[in-house]
Amino acid sequence: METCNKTEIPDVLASDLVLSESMKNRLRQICIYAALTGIDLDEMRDKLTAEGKLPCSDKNSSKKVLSEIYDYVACSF
Amino acid sequence: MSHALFENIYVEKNAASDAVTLRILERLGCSDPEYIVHYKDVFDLRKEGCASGRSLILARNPGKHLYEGAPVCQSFGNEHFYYSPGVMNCIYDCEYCFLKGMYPGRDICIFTDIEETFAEIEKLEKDFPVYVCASYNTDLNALESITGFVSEWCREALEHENISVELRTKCSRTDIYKNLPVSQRAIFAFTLSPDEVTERFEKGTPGLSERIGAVNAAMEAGFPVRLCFDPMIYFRNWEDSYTAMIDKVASSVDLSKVRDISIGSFRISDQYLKNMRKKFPESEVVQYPYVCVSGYYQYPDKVRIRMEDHIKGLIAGKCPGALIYDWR
Repeated sequence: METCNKTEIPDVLASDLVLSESMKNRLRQICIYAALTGIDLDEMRDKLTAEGKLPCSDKNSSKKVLSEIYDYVACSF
Repeated sequence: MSHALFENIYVEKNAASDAVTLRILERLGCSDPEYIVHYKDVFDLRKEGCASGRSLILARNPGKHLYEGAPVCQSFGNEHFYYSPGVMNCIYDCEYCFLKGMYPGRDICIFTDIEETFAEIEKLEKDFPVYVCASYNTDLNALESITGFVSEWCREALEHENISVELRTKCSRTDIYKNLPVSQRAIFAFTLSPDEVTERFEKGTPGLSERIGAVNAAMEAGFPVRLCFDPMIYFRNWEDSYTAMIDKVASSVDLSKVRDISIGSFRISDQYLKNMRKKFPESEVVQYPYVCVSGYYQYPDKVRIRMEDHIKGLIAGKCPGALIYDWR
């Protein structure tokens, strides 16, 4: 499993996903925006874990989860 | 406006005797500017943080006076669409503005050789109708007391049948319009935003009511007016905010008398956004995770279409015959 730069990505979320560099960048930006707008990523992570979508074992499933996280953070107002 | 608006006033030596330079210095009550060799000696210096002061630079334009319009900008059906960088940078401080990605600091540079710009446009005008955005990199209305450029552009449009000018503004001044040369080829385009957007993201700009006052003043003076709901910004409660904004505009402006309406959600070139993200790590609007399409960052389709359709529907509901230009 790849590890990623954890500067702005919460450790627990980073370790649940298998990320390419571009996916890491995308997730990093999502996390920055979530922090600025008060969107709770822990809540999203708990939901995905309860649904059995986390942790991911490969990039394909990670990509789908990343898309869900993106929609939750960037498209839900 | 006074000298106190600017920390320093610089004048390029070769622009020192220009009529525009002398006029601006007189209007600012400045008798002792600092003389420099080239405007970039000051303009290109990086200033740390948004709180730093602002200088004014008067210079001659060493480069192009006209550029072709960017693909993400509206041409309003005009085939030959240009912008003129006669003034670089803006007196306002909008968080999302591309100028923050384009220019290193807050200094304003006014090119005093505006007659050269007109000469260039008049050359093109011989071959085809020319449409020029004269307030592209600035807000000329907001600087009118200093420059007098709005009046000059209006005169240029009046005297040349093949030249149309758009003067884009957020300025709420109502007094300038009755003294300007009026023609149907000088179009005042007002950027209108919900008050929440103004308060949070458009620092130093007038509120919606004040801008509406300027819209009506321009229309009463006989100018064609464009309303620009652009850029639309996505934030919590955006839908109610934009609905309230359209309600207010429709109840205060006779939309049937407006020339046309422009709508568009936020978009920006990738390089400018990269610069802005480094400068403004705490900015919600700059740090939104935009998607990149052909070198431009924009909202994802599910957000963009929702926002743009929402506002189109509101406008059509208030004024079914309104001519609406969509940036896409």
